[in-house]
Amino acid sequence: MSYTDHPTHEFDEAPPLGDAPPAGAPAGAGLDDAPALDTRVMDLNMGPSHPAMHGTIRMVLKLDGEKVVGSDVQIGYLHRGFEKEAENVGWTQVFPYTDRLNYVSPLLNNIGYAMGVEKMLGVTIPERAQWIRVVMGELSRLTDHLTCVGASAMELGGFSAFLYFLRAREELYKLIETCTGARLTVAYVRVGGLAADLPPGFAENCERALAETERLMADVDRLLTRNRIFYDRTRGIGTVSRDKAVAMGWTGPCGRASGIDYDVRRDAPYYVYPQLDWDVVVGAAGDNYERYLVRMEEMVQSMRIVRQALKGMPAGPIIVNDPKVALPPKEEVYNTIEAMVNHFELIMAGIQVPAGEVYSYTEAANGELGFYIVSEGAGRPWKCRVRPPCIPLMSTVSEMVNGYMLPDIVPTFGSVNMVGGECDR
Amino acid sequence: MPKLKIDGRDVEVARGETVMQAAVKLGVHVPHFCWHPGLSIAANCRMCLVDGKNARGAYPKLVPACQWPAEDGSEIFTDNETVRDARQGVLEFLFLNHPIDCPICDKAGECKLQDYYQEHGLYETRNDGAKVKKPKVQDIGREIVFDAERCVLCTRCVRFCQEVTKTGELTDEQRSDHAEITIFPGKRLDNAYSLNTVDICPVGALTSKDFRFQQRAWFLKQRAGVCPGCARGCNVWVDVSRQDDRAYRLRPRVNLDVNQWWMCDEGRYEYKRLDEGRVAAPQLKAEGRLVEASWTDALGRAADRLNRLLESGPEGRAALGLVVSAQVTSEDAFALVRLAREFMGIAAPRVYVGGKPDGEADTLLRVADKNPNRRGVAAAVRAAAPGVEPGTAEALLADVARGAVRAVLVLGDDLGGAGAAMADQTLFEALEDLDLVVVLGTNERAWHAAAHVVLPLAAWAECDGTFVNGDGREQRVAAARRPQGQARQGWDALCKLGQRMGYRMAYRSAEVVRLDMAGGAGGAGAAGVAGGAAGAAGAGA
Repeated sequence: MSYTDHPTHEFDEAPPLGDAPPAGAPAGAGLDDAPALDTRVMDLNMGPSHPAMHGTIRMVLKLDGEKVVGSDVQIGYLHRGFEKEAENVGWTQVFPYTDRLNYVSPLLNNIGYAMGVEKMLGVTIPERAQWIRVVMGELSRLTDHLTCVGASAMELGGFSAFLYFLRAREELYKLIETCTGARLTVAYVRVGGLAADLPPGFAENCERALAETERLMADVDRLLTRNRIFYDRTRGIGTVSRDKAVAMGWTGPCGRASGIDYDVRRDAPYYVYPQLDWDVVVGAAGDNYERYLVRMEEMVQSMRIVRQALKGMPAGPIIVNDPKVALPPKEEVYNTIEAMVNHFELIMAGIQVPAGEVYSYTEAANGELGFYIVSEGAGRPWKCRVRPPCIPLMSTVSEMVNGYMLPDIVPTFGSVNMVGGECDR
Repeated sequence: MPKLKIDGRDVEVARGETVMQAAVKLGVHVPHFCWHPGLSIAANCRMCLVDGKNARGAYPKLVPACQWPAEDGSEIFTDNETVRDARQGVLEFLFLNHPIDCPICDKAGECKLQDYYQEHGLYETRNDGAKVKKPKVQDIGREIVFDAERCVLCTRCVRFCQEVTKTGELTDEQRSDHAEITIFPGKRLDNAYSLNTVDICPVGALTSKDFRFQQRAWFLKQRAGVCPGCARGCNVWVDVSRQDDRAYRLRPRVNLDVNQWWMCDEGRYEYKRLDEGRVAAPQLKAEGRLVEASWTDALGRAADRLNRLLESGPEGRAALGLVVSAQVTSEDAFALVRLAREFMGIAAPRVYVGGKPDGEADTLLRVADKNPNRRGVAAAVRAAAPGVEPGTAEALLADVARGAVRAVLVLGDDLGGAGAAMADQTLFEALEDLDLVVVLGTNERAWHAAAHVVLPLAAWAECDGTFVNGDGREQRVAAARRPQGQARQGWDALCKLGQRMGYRMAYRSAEVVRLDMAGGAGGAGAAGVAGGAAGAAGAGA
C-alpha cells in the first residue's frame, strides 16, 4: 500500500460542511457570498513570536474579516552569517556549522557540503563510506519528515500524531547518537569520508527503530489520512500548480507534490543510490494534503533504501587514505613524528584545496541543497554559498496564503517545512 | 649573462649566480634548510636538490640548487618525480631521530620541517628502532636555549656566528646521527646579535628564552614596523597576538639598505614597553596627586590653563616651553610646534628636544643614539617654525632655572640630553614649581608627579608616522595594533587640545600631517586643515 494511493477521493464527493461553497469553487468563495457587511481591511502581525511561525518568521497580514487579502512574509530572524563564518574557518571546521543549517536533518547538510569539497579535491570516497552516507542521510530524511508532518498535525490540533512521530524520531535520534555521538549536532562527516564507522549492532538497532517507526506511522496514518478535520483543513488549501512551482524553483517533496518529477538522488545520481531499488514519489494536486501524502510515502521509500543499504554494505575503510586530506590515526599521531607533523599541518594549515569553484548539489529533506564553493588554494573556503531548498518555497508562501482564511496559514506554512537554520543561514 | 630555464620558464641571471638565486628571481620556491641569502653556501642539507640538463646532456645526478652555478643554456627541473623522491628521502632521514615535540615546540606553526614534510613526506615511519637521544634544554647563552634533538644540522647558526658577528661561538662535532651543534668549551652564545640564530634556525632547535612558551606562532599576526631602539631604524615585524592584541616579539624584516636580515638583541626588547607601565588614562593633579580623569576633563583643564597663560600677555607666551622627545614621530612633533606657532601665536616658540641617553654602538648595526627619530624631530620643528633651532634638555633646565620658562607642554617621556641619562628626580625637581606642566606620555614615569595634566600617548607600534634614522633615511611606520587603554596618537591628541582651546586645528590622519609638513610652515589650509586662528603664515615671523 502506498500513502499516495489512499482512497481519500471519497471525501471529495462528500457534502461540504456548513455553509462552505460546493467542491470546485475557488477557495474562500463562500466568504464573498456573505451578506454585505461594512468591513475594513485590517493589518495583523503574525510572528516572529508566534508558535506557528516557528519563532523565526514574521508575516504582516492584511485581513478582510478572516480572509487574507495580502501578506508580507519576512525571513531572516535566525541569520547567523553561515557563509561568512565558513570563510574564516578551515574546510573541516565548516561541518559543525552545516549541522545548524537544516538542524532537523543535519547529516544531509554534512554530506552535501563534503561532496562539494571532495569534488574540488578530486577525491573519491571509499565504498563503505558511500553506503554509510546513504544510510545516515536517509535516516536524517526520516527525522525531518517526521518532524514536519508531526508538527503540522499538532498545529491543527492533532497532538497525538505529534507525540507519536516525535517518539519515532526519538528512536532514530537515539540510533544516530550511537553512531555520531550526538542527536542533532552530529558533525559526523569528514572531507574524504566519515569520522567513525557504524558501531557494532547498528543494523539490528536500526531495524528495531525502523519497525517502531513503521508501527507509529501506521497509527498516524489512521489518525490523519482519513480524518475529516485534517482533510478539510489541508485539501485544496495552499495549492501551487506545477507551473508555478517550476517558476519559483521548487524542488524536493513540495515540488514533487505539485507534480515536478525531479529528485537529485535519481536525476544527478551520487553514491550508491542507482544500485538501490526505490521510487521517486510524485503527486499532482500541489496542496497541503498532497504534501503530507508525499512526505509519508517518502518515508516509506527512505526505509526501503536504508534496509537495502545495510544489507548491501561492504566492509572496508570509511575515509580515504590520503595524508593531504584525512587525519592519521591517533595512536600514530602520539607515537611517531611523521604522523604528528601530518596531523599538525592538517589541523593548523588545513586541507589545501586547489583553487577553483564548484556547485555541488544533493537531495536534502526539503529539496535540492546546493553548495557553491570557491577555493583560492588555501586551507579555508574563500566563499561558501548555500542554496537552501526552502528559500524558493518560502518566497512562494505569500501567494500560497493570499485568498485563503487566516487559520489556513498554519497548515500551509507547516507543509512548506521552513527550517530557520537553513532558510536564514 | 647566463640564460636558463627553470620548470619551463626562462630566466636570465648575472654571471656567478646560482640556480637557487635564479629560482628566487622567478618566484619558484625550492625547499631548503641550510641556504640563507645572508650566509655562505654550505650545501649540506641536500633539501634543495634539483634535476637538470645542459648542452652536454642530462646531469648525471641531482645537484644542490644553492651551490650549482646557473649555466647558460641549461634547464632545471625543481619538481619532477626524481626530485620529489629525493626530498622525501632527505626528510625521512631527518625524521628518523626527530623528537615528537611539535606540541611543546615554539617553532610549531612556522617550522620549515613541518611544512616541507606535509608537502613531500612519506607520512609513515620505517624506523622500528629507538631514536638517538641528545641533550635537550641546554642553556647556551643569555638569550638562547638549545635542543640538540630537534636540530637538522643545517649549520646556519654556526655560520652566522662566524660570518656576521665574527664571534664564532658555535661549531658542529661528531658525525652521522651523533653529530650535533655545540658551543666551544668555556664559551657562551652571548654576542649582541645572538637572537638572530633563533630566527634563522629552520626548526625549533634554538629558541628564545624571552619568547619561549609565551605564545603560539599561529596566534600571531605580523605587522611591519621600525624598531625604535636606536637611530639605525632596523625594519622589524611586530608579532601581535590575535587573542589579546599584545606584542610578543620583534623579528627582523629584510631591508638590504638598513639592517639586511638582522637586528640586535637589545632592540628585540623594545616591544616590552608597549604593554608594561603604560599611561592608560588621562590624569589630573588634584590635592597634590595625579588622579585618573576623562579625556574631556583633562583636555578642559589643560586648555583652560594654557589659555590663561597665553592671555597673561607677551611674557606669558614667551614663557611656554615645548619639550619633544626624539622617540616620537615627526608628525607628532610637527603638530605640537604648529599648534604653538600658528594657533597660539607664539612666533618663535621655545623648543627643546630630549631623548634617551646614548648607549652601546658597534660596527654591525647598533648606533650610540638610542632614539629612532632625533633627525626627524629636528626637521619637523624646523618645518613648523622656520628659523627656530631646538634646544637640548640641558638648555631647558637652564631656562627653567633662570625663570625664562614657566610652563611646559611635553610630548614623550624620555627627555634626557644626548649625553648621560637625566635622572627622573632631576626632571621632577626642575618642573615641580612651574606654573603649568602638560605631558603627553606613553609610560608612567616618576617625574610625571610634577605634571598638572598627563594625557596618554600612543606608543611606537601604535602610531602612524615617520622616523628618520641616523643616516637621514625616512621610514614610514604604520600602527601595528590599536593604542592601549585610552591613548591617542600625538597629532590627534594635540588637535583635540587645540580645539578645546578654541582653535580650528584638525587633522584626519598622520598622512595629512605629513602633507602639511612637506608644504612647510605656510602649509596652513593644506588638505584637511582648517585655517589658523592666530599667527600669520610665513617664515621667521
